[in-house]
Amino acid sequence: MKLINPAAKISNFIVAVGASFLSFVESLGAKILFMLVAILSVFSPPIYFKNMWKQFVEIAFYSLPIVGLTAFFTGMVLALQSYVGFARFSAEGAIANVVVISITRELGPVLTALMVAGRISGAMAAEIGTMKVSEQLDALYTMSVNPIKYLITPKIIAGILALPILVMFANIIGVMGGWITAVVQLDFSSSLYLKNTIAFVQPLDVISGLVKAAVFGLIITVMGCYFGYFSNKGAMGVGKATTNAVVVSSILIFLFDYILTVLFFNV
Amino acid sequence: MVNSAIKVKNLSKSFFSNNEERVVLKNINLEISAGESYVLIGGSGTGKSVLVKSIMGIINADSGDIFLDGVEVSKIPKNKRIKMKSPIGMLFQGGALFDSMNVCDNVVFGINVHSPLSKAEAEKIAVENLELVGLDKSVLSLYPAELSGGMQKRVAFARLIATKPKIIFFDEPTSGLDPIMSNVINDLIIKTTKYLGATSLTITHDMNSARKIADRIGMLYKAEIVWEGNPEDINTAENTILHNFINGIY
Ligand SMILES: Nc1ncnc2c1ncn2[C@@H]1O[C@H](COP(=O)(O)OP(=O)(O)OP(=O)(O)O)[C@@H](O)[C@H]1O
Ligand SMILES: [Mg+2]
Repeated sequence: MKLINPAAKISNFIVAVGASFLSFVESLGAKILFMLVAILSVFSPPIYFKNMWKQFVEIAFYSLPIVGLTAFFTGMVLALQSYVGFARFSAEGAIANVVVISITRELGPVLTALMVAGRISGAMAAEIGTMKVSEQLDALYTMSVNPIKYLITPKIIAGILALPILVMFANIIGVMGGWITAVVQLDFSSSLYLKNTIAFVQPLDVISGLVKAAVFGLIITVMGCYFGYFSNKGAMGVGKATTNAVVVSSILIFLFDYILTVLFFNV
Repeated sequence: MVNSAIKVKNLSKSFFSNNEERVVLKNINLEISAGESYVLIGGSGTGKSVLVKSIMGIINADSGDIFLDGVEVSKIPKNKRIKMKSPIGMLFQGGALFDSMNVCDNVVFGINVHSPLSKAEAEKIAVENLELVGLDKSVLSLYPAELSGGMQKRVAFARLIATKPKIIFFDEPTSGLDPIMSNVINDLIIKTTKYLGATSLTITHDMNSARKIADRIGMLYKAEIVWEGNPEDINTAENTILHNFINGIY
């Protein structure tokens, strides 16, 4: 029997953790490099504006229903829950404030980004992965078209521009959801609720949310394109790329939400 | 002086998987003169597609020099090479039609993407090129998913010749087609390369096709070109590997 040396075991463990940390950093580096190449491409001709517009419509316009629905229910539930909570110390009056600040700072950007990640990130990975597997990317190349410039740059730019617009929309619908619940179900005064909302919200609340949204748009599209572009051949490879794109972009959304919150509010 | 349209010197390429090196191409030398039709035969997985993609610059070779029309393209970085609107075209093994575009947009893509065409111009060019491959304008608005495999190949063919390439790579143009359709494609290769005055390198498993279209045939086996000669000599050549391949002996 082999003797087990506890010191060796611990050092093995450290080596394993170190190795996985290094490979994480390495893969993050690859993603950042990929992103830089794709984004910098926008500064040299040719620029494919038509593709950019198409992607913008796909991301912004076709996400409106699902983003609106999510924001509406979130606003309503938020009003109900904070009513229940605040009633315990007779602070029901603060509902309007809580709803507007939670929606603009946090829930609007994060929930919108998660919904769009589910809709878009996986679809982009599948589209680009399939194009790679069926040699369509090579075909672009043979026709003097850079696949990154033609396919990927427009998606990333569209994502960065579309998400803030979607979040602005989600903010309005979310606040409306809270207002409707407060007025219809909880018997608040409609005008007082709106006045409280407007008086309480600060520009930074909204702006920080929109900046977060742009970062999330970048994350969603870069991850979708990255996993598609580097997917393995075959249906399995594309399937895995799709899953990875959604999972990784969702995790990064939470991670960067935290980082940006710390940066914005110095807490 | 006959200058060579395609010249490959000492080209090598290996792939690594699970830390194991697999040599796919080893010191390949190849020279194809302008206007010639060269056919590359060889078993499945011997690296024929990799060779062609390395020549085109889609895959980076590990070493070796590649000249196209006298220009040493292997010295030009990839992002510069993409921008060169070189008159080189390729028919991909699976057609590689853009499945988000209809037939018309596919056929004119190579032109349209660099200098946008009006709808009428696009249709006119598409119809002209589809006619050359025996398709009519009824397919213009169909999507690749709505076409049969043979039709996809022909549309891909039309897309290829629409850009009027001078050097063409055909990757298994007749695989998966019935004998009649294979012959249609063979004739198309002969007809269009002549019409364009193009040099061609065709990969195939199909010996009928090879005999029909080749000016010269090369056989790739275990990372090397083991035989090169004229189609007339292929049956009498004293090369066991070649003999076994064309007679299906294993
Ligand atoms: N991107 C890649 N990564 C790793 N290995 C690869 C890659 N592309 C090709 N190969 C390997 O290179 C070898 C040659 O592949 P290639 O596609 O050139 O074969 P082929 O001669 O065209 O075969 P077929 O006639 O079946 O098309 C195969 O063993 C394949 O597994
Ligand atoms: Mg092949």
